[in-house]
Amino acid sequence: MNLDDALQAWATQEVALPAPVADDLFREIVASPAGLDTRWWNRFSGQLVANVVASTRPRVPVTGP
Amino acid sequence: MDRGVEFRKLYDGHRAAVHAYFTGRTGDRWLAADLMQETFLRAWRRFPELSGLTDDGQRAWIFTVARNLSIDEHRQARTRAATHAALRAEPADVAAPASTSVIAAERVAVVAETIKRLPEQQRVTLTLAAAGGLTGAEIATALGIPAGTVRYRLSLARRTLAEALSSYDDVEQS
Repeated sequence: MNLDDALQAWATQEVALPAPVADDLFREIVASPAGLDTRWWNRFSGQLVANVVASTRPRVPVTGP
Repeated sequence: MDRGVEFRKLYDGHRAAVHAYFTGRTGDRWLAADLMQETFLRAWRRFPELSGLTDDGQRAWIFTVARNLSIDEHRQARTRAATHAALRAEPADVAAPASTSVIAAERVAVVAETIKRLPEQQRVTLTLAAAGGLTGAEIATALGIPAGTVRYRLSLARRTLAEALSSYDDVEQS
């Protein structure tokens, strides 16, 4: 087995994405609603929740022991 | 032609290369699949604009998105973690015995371990060539670098791999 054969085997075994997985990914992509950036929304809503939680935290002065 | 059918042609034409690119960057083919999906999601949203481009133009567009994704701060942190995890994997046992198929499997393992340890630029370039099926010119378009640089990186990577296989053969014969 020469270098090119070993590289080809490596590509098949360690890199290539199985066709059913690639098909599933494709179906998810084309099923996504156009114009809605889910990553942006997830980031925005996560930050909103964090801000709301932080703003409702009681402001008690820290006192040492 | 139906938009989905047209987009499927674009997806099938470029997905292996995009996935190979992210696998080269991350060392993790499943994380690479996630990043590949994100890349094509963006392509899907901009498909009317993208469908008017040449094949090279589409490749350049898609890989610009892919490169931007890969330098996203959050992604980069996950990428580094995945790469380090991959690099910490146990090295292949190259001294095991000897049927033809075992030796072939061991040579593949030697290649895999050596690729993990290549400098990132060489690893990405080699992965695009070996697993993405891209020519040198196509890799140059995808990465936005001169074709000579692609040839140089491939040459260095292949030399390192050849040396690793040669060392394996020496151990095997002794």
